Amino acid sequence: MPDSVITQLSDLRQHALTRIAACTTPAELKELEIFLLGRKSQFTSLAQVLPSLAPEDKKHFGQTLNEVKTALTLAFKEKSEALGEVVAEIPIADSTLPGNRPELGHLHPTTKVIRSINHFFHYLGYSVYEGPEIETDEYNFDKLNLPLDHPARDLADTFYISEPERLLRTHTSSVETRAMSHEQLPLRIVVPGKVYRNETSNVTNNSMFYQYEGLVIDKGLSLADLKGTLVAFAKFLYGKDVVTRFRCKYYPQVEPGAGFDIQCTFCSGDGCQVCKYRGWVEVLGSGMVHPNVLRNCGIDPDQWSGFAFGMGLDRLVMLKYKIADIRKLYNGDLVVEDKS
Amino acid sequence: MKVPLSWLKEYVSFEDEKEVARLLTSIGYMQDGPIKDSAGDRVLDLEVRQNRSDGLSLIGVAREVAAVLNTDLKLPSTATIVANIPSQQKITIADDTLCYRFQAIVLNDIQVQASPSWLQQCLVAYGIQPINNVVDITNYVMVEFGQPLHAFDADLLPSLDLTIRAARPDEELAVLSGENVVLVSDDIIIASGENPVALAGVKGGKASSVVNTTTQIVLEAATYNQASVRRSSIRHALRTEASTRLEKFLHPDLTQVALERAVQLLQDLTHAKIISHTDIYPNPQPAITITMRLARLNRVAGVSLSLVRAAELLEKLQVSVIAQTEQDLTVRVPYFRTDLDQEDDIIEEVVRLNGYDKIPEHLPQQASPKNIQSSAYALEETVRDLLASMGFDEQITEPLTLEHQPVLEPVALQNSLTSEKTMLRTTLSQSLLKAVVNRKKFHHTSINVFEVGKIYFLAAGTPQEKRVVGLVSSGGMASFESVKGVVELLLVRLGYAYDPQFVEIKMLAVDSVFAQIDLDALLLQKSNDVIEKVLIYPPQVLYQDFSFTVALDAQVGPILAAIQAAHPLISRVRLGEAPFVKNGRKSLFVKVTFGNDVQVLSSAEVEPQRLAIVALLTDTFSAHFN
Repeated sequence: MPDSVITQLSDLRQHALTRIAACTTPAELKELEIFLLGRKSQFTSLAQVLPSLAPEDKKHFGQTLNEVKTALTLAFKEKSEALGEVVAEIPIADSTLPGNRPELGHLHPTTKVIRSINHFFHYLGYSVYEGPEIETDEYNFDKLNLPLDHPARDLADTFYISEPERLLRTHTSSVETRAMSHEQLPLRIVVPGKVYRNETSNVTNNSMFYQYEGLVIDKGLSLADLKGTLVAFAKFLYGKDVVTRFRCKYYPQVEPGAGFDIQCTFCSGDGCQVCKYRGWVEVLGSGMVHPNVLRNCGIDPDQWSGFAFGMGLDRLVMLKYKIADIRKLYNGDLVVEDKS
Repeated sequence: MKVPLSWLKEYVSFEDEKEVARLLTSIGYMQDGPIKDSAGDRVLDLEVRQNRSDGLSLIGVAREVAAVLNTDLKLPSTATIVANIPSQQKITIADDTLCYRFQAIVLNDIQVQASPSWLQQCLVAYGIQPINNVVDITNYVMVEFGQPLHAFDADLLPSLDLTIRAARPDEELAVLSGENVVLVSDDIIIASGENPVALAGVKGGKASSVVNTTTQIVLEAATYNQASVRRSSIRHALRTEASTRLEKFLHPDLTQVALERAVQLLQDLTHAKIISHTDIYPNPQPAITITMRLARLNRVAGVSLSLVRAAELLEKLQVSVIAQTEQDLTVRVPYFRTDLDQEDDIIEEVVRLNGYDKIPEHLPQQASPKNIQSSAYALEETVRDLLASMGFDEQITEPLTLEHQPVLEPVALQNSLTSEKTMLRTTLSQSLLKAVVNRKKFHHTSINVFEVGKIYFLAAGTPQEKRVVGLVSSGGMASFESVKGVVELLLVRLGYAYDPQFVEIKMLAVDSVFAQIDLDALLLQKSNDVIEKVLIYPPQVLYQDFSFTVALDAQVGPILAAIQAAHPLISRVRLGEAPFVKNGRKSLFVKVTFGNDVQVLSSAEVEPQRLAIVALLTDTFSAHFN
């Protein structure tokens, strides 16, 4: 490496320090900084020699360059402070300019509602459990205390693939009979999922919709465990001030059976259009798993007991996102956007 | 069930109608809408569940009210009917699985006229149009006791001999409301001689109906196979007051009670006289007794009641205690409670009358069982989050469709009501493309949508369902490469390598690209737990560019793969720009990243590798470098 380059650097440093010390105004100092370290300065042209040097020289020269730069920068800073210069800030662009947002996608409202409910039950020790949508008569009806010719089968308006054996599940209870038949006890599961009814679609009914069910099988469970769970769930969904009602209601797969309502929040129980003048809005159906159902799934009802609850999910989604027509949730029209 | 409240007060006393509605709701009869004024009465609408056939009668509702208010039930006066008064009439039940009991009474000296106004008002308040005193009495007793009755004009019947049998194909019946019903062999009919005169449990025939000139009637009450009645009423679209009751499990003992009441009213209002009484009841039903254990009651209900209290509650419901020990009690079920057949049914009776509001509430105290959530569910959730983070909007579409992909054999539905929903989808492409087309109508230019769901198909004749994720990118920057890139990144982030075996990518339209990943197949692969490299320093990297041409039909994938494999120092190989055609050859610009975690790389150090890559491309892929 030509010594001259190192010498030039050394001279530059001496010269510069003298000039900096001699400055008397901030403007003069600024001008000097540009002259000494700016794009067209001697320092910059010396630095450009670096890549052409042999590797062993490169290291030494590079270090020296850095030392000089650091020393001069420090000198300028100290002198600048001594002269009381206000350090120029980076100019801020128009702060009212809109930001450029990255593009993010959106989840379907039903997914979001399912997730929030899953989250609630996850903390109570429930696992999300799944089953097939193409079901057999055995799991969808027979094991659920709904033998052939039971009137509830008509109400279910079943889609058959091959009658009466193979069908599209009419409720997520079929997943519960699968869990009870095949999983180890005790059991604590929730089942979100698509279900199907063979009916003409309209504003409130679609041939495919979502249900959400829960099932607990353990030793010594009672209606009190069910009621406590439902009240906690209602508080999660509707806030801690929600008023609830637990009443007797028949479902074939439970005994005793229970309906669970919340007081209408629109009319506080006086009766209005929203609650169909009932004063209450039915949230879900529930009960202690029927001994016949337990037996059908190979569980001894004298040793184990269980409770189950189930609800339609779409009405919750529609209420939350103010969607009046259930078909719009699932016909491909739905667009979710961020609020501007 | 419409309950005219002043009619109800004939059987039970109460003051506060709102309180009665509230109590009925709590014990299983939900008030359905406000109490309304109707024909000078107040009418309460109750939801009656499928199991409570007694709930479709005012006496049944009154029993519940009396029990819950702890007051007396007042039963109406009834006539005494001597069992089996012989006559010329011959009644035959052809099949005792179709009809469980058939009771017929012939009465004469009838004076048909309009009913007294109290009777008419009751029926109007309930919602039945008054016709004449005979017909009105059958309806009145049906609403009162829940047992449908039918009166034929005895002189208009072809024969007094009645047979209850399955209809024969192409038999026909003109029913009361005027329609002509073509019967099928699944219908039960009452035949007079050979002629159908009633669709049993559903509707009577017009030809033999009671009219103003009627003087002699055959009054019948029967119990039929519920399922058959239900099917007939649905099949012929004849949902009647009779069929809604007879499609539930009515006890055969009820026919006697209802007839006694009807005869009383017929004697009072039409001066009728009994000529004969025929009762065919092939298999009388024994009374049901059930033992309820106190320990089970308190365990299942979460309450602590005494046996004395339980017995007291049951007695109020006319479930009579016939034996008792210290641990249990044995009860006899009254005939009208056809819903009670085992121990837990009796437990519910105790608990509901004691009050569901008195049940304490707490969360289960048992330890949580082990988590059995499937890895598939977790995978789906991660897929949703990753695709949303890449700018894709989630869709959920109905799997019922008309179209299908010719590759897979679709699962068809046997009985769909809608012609557009006759099979299950075999791909997500159609519904996602439809979503894209919908958005384009509204001038959306760049559309990215996805759906996580199932496809369905037949494999060796058996219906299968498969978990997939589908995505469509359309407009804007959508291209095969951009969609493949999304799929690649998705798979990397899920811990899997791209494999065309479970990924399908295709152009759906000029500017729409569809991809579908078989998630079930993915789950069968072993996923990498560690999906990212962690470096404790930023890696030292050096870029080398290669610009060359290859034959027009050369594929890019193998070329990039060969470069990647050329040396372990190579960390990344990618295209700097899209390939283009130049002088009849494909021109490629490849950027190669050499990376090393520890030492600084210089161009000189990678020079041998650079030359090796040039040689490789020249030799293996006949590349030309300019």
